[in-house]
Amino acid sequence: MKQILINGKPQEIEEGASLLVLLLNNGQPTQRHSVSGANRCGICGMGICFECRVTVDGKVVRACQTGCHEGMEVWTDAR
Amino acid sequence: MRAEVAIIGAGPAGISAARAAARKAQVLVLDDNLRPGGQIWRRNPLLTALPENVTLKTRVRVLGPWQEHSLLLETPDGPTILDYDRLILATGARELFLPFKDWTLANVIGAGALQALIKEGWNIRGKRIVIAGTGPLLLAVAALARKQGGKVLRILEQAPANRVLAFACQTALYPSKSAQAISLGFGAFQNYRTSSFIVEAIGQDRLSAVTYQDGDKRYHVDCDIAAVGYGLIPNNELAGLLGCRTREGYVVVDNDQRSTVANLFAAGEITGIGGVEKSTIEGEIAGLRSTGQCADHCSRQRDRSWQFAKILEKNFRLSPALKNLATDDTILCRCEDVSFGEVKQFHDWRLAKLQCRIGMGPCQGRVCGPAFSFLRGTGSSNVEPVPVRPPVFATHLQNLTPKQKL
Repeated sequence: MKQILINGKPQEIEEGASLLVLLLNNGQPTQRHSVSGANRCGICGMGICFECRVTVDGKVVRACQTGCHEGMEVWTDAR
Repeated sequence: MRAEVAIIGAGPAGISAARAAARKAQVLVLDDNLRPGGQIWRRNPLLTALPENVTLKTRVRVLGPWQEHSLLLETPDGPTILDYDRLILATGARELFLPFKDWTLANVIGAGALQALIKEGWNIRGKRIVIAGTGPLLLAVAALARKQGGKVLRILEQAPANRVLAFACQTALYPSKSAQAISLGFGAFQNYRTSSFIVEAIGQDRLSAVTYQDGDKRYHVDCDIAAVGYGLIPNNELAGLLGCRTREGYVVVDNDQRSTVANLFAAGEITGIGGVEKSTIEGEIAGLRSTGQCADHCSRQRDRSWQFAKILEKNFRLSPALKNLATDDTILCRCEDVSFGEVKQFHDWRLAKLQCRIGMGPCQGRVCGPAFSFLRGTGSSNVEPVPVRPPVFATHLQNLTPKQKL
């Protein structure tokens, strides 16, 4: 069973699946907070809006254009 | 990296261009998504199969022009330079988002976004969904959502009924399109409203309901997801930086899909919104003509797809009423949390940007720029492009200093 860590918690994954979809299916629609602190989620699903950005292994990426890979460490609420 | 023919975008236009060009040249196709197919062929490996002399690289982003005939790329292995002889831009389109009260709530997404995320595996079984905005895409999204077990409560089309009907009649001349529209339409008819739009999203930490306007009346619907898209706009940023002439945001091309810049071709939605048929045929022409092959047999089909594009444009023109959806406290720029009230005194994008930081966040005005143009523009529904600066996408500073050519 392949796993990644989301905010420190282990999570089962399908290799290569969209990270944004994984977060959504986990019931986690909010990926980050805006500059004034409001909950935000990705709105475009295609790499345009940057609202779904998360930190993966120390790098800020767009969750919608990131595939899940075993051992990945994901932190939501990227800046 | 080197390519005789480099193609940016692996959607229908890019894939079709690659197949045509591959008969005469070594071809490289780049796309920033996880997989090829663009939006419409997302996760459809059958349609994106490519000949042997085509190299496809996904998760690669073009950051901008580098030198003459070269581009700066961001790849999973770091930045690199691509030298090309001929370049075909097939960068596609994105959705136009128009702000309304509390549209920043979680689970308010684009209509095309809902389609893309369902194709990527978002489980929407049992979710109550309102689809809104404009164009035939709404029906396609509704059909897909329903097939995947979503409860589509309303489909709200901003265009009036006579326009939608005119579209249906005029496209009856285009067999595949009309059959598609009608089969999608019947299933949706009961929940389909014209001259209607969402005026407010309601919820605490995420969406729980929307209010929509239908004629003079307002209605409240409890829902889990609102998928709202006001049509498509071209991803013309790279074309603009390369110096291509544009008209109303679309890249100007001749009958060979040549742009106004030497050795640079453009195909698909960036030359005009017309759907998959137009993209495919334009891609084929660009692929053929960029490699010195004849494309005369394609012109009739291209002309037909352009007629469809015009019918689409004419009938789903945006209502000026949509300009009133944003109130003073409505967020316009989601990256910097700039409200409409802060920028409404400005007609000029640059001035608004300098004064309020609108468009200065990670998306670089991709979402708020077109909305600003629509809300502040002089035309009733013109969506004029806002000026773009390199890099095409926000990136890490280290990506702007490539160490070596791969």
